[in-house]
Amino acid sequence: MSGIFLSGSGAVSPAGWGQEKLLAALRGGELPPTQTIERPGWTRPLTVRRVPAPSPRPAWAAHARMRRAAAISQFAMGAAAEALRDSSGGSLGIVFCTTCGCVNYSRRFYDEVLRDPTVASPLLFPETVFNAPASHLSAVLGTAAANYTLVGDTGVFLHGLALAAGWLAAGRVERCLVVAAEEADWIIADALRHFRKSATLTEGAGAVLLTRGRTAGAFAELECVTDPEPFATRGRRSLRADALQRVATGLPTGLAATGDASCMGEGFSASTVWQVLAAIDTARRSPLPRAMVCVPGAYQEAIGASFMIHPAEIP
Amino acid sequence: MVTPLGLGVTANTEGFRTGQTAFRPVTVFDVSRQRVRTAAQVDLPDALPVTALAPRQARRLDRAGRMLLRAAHEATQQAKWDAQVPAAFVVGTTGGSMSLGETYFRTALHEPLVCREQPTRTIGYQAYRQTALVAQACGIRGPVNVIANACASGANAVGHAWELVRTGQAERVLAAGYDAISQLIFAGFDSLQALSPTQCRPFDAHRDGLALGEGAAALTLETLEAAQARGATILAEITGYGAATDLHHLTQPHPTGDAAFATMMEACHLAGLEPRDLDYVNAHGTGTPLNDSAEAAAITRWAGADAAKLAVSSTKAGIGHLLGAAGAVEAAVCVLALRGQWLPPMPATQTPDAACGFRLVTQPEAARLTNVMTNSFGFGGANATLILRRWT
Repeated sequence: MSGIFLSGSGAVSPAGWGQEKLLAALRGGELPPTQTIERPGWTRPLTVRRVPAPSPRPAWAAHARMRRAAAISQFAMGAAAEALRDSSGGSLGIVFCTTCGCVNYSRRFYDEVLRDPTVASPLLFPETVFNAPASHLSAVLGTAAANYTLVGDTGVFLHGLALAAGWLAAGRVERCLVVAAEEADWIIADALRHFRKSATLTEGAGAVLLTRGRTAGAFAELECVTDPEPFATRGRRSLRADALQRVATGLPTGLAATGDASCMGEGFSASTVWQVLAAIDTARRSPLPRAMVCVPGAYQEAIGASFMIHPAEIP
Repeated sequence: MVTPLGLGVTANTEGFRTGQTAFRPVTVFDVSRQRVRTAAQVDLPDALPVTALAPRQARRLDRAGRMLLRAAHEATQQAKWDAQVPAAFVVGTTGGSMSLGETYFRTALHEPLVCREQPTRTIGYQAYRQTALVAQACGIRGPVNVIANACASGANAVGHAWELVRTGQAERVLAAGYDAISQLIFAGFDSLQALSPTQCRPFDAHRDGLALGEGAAALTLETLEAAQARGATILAEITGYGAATDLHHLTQPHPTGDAAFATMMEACHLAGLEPRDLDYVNAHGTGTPLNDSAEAAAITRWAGADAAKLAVSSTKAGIGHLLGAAGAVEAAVCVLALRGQWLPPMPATQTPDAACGFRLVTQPEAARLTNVMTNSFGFGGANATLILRRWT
């Protein structure tokens, strides 16, 4: 076993702010409704699932760093705060994972640049960098420890788990938040329709808190993250299935629960963390000793992970 | 390495040794309405070295990806890495394939009914996709990680690669940083009035901003045992790495450079060194009033009584700020300096800022170097420091 435990988790999704709202929706409850999003130059709007406004407004939203922060940063902070609610003490590292990044501010800023760069807003530009959400997390949580932003395919959250586990094993930090987040924007919905016309873009975040050694609130242990299996270099649909198969053979055998968050829509890295939380939730409820996820990837690679479930009270 | 000074290590060495500058009018996009119109742009040929990529795959690489490919190919060829031995690939970047994203947006906005090439641009825009193509080109079989920590990305990539090797998680890792200048990022820095309208003069009392550049560098990292077993030529040793986060502001460092101080201390601790053991610091030194003040405060505080003897310069004076590539390029420059036993100068710095308690290198200079340090600090408070040691 790795000795790396999941000691907290959180989620923000179109089902609402909070992991339980996400899991209730995935367990077969009512899916959140879709909304339309205007696409410039088109008469037909695009379809997305958006995160509703939080109610009540969380205390961290008043922090100076969050006032002008983009939605992706707000989602990440919401999930992170939930994952940390029962944790305190010890150095805290942050690994932020994303596929699309800070799209909304990037699109808005570039639009202004194209119109007239002399008046493009300097308030927007800093929020376009991939690591802006991670920076806000560090500032609001008050941790100056190491902080990485990973950019990758849909399964990048699992890369983040592996990186965080390495930090913990090496003693770089005593706790590590791994967060994945995405935000919806017409430009992403537009890009998605080139590949899957019926796909619904979604947005949100998920977070897990990893610790070295089992803490009081630990509910699962990271068993393994597989090597990624690339498929895009050959680019055919059948080879994605082959890559998934290779990932599956790299995972432990035996009874395991799996998770599926695809009914929420395409949320890229956020979908993966929701899938992990759903798998662990299913395993804890069944109960099954293990939760596993295989992530097919959107454009590059398949990857998987396995978690050993520890007995705990079912909420 | 690929920098505005040239393609490849040989073409770059003399330029860094003598403090050449490479700034010229930007031609890759329209800057006619920008306040500043110059940058250190790479003279990048369309042709690529022959690699394992098929021509149609190579065509999918954008400008940034082609620079990364050249650097990674040069590094793996020089190291004579066998493609059959697995290696991880850790890459730092700020913008990735920003140019493809910009083209996608312009097409989507101005030609909304056009679909041709948009799917290709969508896939090509992903930094992860570009780096995976480069990995394939160089025969790198192993996990790929893209770290996007703004201007510290390249240093974080090298540092993370070092940690993977040091902790036994990988026997060999290709570490790289890359970025191409893009219209969005150029306009962004211009909107912040961070670009110098005159000349990039790091640590000069009259400095007025940074200059942007582009490029890529790659370093092959492996265990000593693996390198010696195949008779490899070892260029240098990485001995320390520090990473921390500056919480002060999204774009501005804390005035006293606390996070920079922390990374320098951590890197020294891991290297088992005291400040007096360092012979040279390749500073982040962007030339902005705020960065250089904070970094000067941090270096002076860290070096303490040894500050006055410490040689410091910033190669951004010659090639500009390469953003995600900066940390990797500057680590490679440190390797060159260690092997050639010289200090990279910054001739444009004429009047040292009084806050600099250390010695600024402004003219070409031979030196006895054993341990050198390189700093990289970025938006979002990402701070990183690397220490390299001469290999004899």
